[in-house]
Amino acid sequence: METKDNNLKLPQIDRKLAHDIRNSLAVIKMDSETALLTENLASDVKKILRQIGIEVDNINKMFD
Amino acid sequence: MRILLVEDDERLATRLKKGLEVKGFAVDHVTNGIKAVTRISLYRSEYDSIVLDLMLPGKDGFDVCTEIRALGVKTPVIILTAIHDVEDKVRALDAGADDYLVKPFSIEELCARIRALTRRPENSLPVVVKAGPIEMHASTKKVYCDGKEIELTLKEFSLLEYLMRHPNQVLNREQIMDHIWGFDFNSFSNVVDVHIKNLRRKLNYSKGRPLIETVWGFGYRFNDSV
Repeated sequence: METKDNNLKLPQIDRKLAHDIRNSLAVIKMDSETALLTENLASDVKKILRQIGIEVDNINKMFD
Repeated sequence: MRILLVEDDERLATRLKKGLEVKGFAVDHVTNGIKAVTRISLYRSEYDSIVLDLMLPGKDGFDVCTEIRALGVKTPVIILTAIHDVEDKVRALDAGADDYLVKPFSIEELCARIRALTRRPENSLPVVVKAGPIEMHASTKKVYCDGKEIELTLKEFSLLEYLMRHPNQVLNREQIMDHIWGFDFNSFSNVVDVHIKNLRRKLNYSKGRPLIETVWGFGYRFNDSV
């Protein structure tokens, strides 16, 4: 029977790489948040921008 | 409120600066640790908070924090980092940082943390500021004059807050400009005079001495004993 083990663990992510990836995620998150502050934004655009923020958080959680 | 942002990633710095400015902060930006220490040691009393990235060229965030604390700078420091690591957090806090935020973060959270740090008793920035007939609520951005609510723009609010937090002191145009608009703003602009004029008009207070007094040749003074 197949069991879960730690063999699938990713190698330790390099600090510089983590820094670059998280900075890029932060840029996307800031862009979507700043865009949300725009007045008279269509509700579907707002929805997409909020979803972008959620997806950024999801990607980020994979690194934790 | 004036913030020094120390961040080497230009893409992120541009967005952070814009986001903080939209929320009413004046933001100065430097791109490396050496410039940060120089700027902070020269203008230590000018900043209400420092937002400091950890991985910086020249001198990293840990060293910047340690050096400015050794110089006696007490300005609150919030560390920004991409590394979710307990060791880093402990090291940053031990180096003198007051708070720690892992990227990517929400600009709302950063603003709330800045407000929380500047509310600490040792930083003596009360949430409700009262001076003369004016009552100002820093967290809700509401202003009352003789109990009547006054609608102000973000810049007008920041300007009034700066004047009220320095009652009876003459503040020159350059000081006001630096604190409210940041170092990058055109110093030949008459933006301070225009905003003072608008503030006076909106406050519309005409009993006794003027609330915001012009001190000819110097600048402006907020009188809290009108």
